[in-house]
Amino acid sequence: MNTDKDKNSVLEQTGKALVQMFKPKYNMLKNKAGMRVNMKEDGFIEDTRIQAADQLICDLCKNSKQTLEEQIKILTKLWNHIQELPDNEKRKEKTQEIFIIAHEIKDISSLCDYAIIAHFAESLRDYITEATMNIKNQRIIIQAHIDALSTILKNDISDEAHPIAEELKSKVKIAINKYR
Amino acid sequence: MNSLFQNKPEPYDLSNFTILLVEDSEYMQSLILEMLKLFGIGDILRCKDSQEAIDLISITHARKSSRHIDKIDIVLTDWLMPKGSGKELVKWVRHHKVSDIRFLPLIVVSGYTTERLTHETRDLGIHELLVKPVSGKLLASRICSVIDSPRPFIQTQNYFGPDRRRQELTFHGPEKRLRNPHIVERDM
Repeated sequence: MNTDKDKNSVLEQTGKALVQMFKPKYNMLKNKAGMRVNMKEDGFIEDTRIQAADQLICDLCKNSKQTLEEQIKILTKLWNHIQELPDNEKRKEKTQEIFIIAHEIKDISSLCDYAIIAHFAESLRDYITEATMNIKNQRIIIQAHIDALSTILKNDISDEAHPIAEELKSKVKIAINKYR
Repeated sequence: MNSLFQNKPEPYDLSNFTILLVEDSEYMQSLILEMLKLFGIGDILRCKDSQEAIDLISITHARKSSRHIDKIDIVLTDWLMPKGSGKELVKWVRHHKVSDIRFLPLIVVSGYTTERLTHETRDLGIHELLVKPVSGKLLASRICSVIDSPRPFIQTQNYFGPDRRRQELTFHGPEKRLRNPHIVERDM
């Protein structure tokens, strides 16, 4: 019995084709979802199920401020700990944890419409990938992000156009441009 | 009436489906897990990084041969994970020697929204990209797209994955393709 590899090598040798296309004989997934394998029409997930999933997000977001507060507290504590570490290598290792928390804060805040928190969390997450913890200037940038996140949460700001949000964005931008 | 005897589209019954969810964030993992349960997905396997996912897919495949376990139908993976990224998982799947694994439908969930990521994931052979924040509608649409339209898989020297051309467009102009594809039919 020919394997795919055999077929390919034969085809390469004859020069007829180097491109192979695997076409599905039947739509087995559709069949598994309770439809006929040759049914052309698209199926769907019931609206009530989709609405229930969206409601789940809404319910989850009711407690999101508390979750974000906890995450930002963890972030602040971690950052304070990193700064006290004497060894550059250990600081680098711990930086990965900042990245993970910033990433999670970004996910939660964007899910729950805290656009400005999402903005700073994303900015911190992206910056952390290029930061080296032994350079003082870069530490200023990280501190600026954490301060901005704490201030936003403390003042319960969710709108990117809020004057405090605008001011913080501009300050962090200045810090990045000046100390990068 | 049983859908076997009519043409009218009906809601999918996903109770026989097994989805592998790969997400490092506990918060997002539990959210997506609950959403999938609400969609009626029968079995949801979870793991936190690509290495765990690789182990799980391998074990599931090995046990499947004894017919005591259903195969994984769709993999839903986060892209950015500190301990083994979605990229590693996608590459492992698409280069696997076992065809049941190599042809697995892959949906990438990502908080990144760059054009570069879109191109990168497409060229690594994913089926669908779902950009965070997730919503019921977005998640449902990506799952339905995988079920509704099983795109043919293309094997070239540099690519293996679903056909990247989603539209059948009429092309006017000189034929640029050097060779016609060799077509193989298979169960997918």
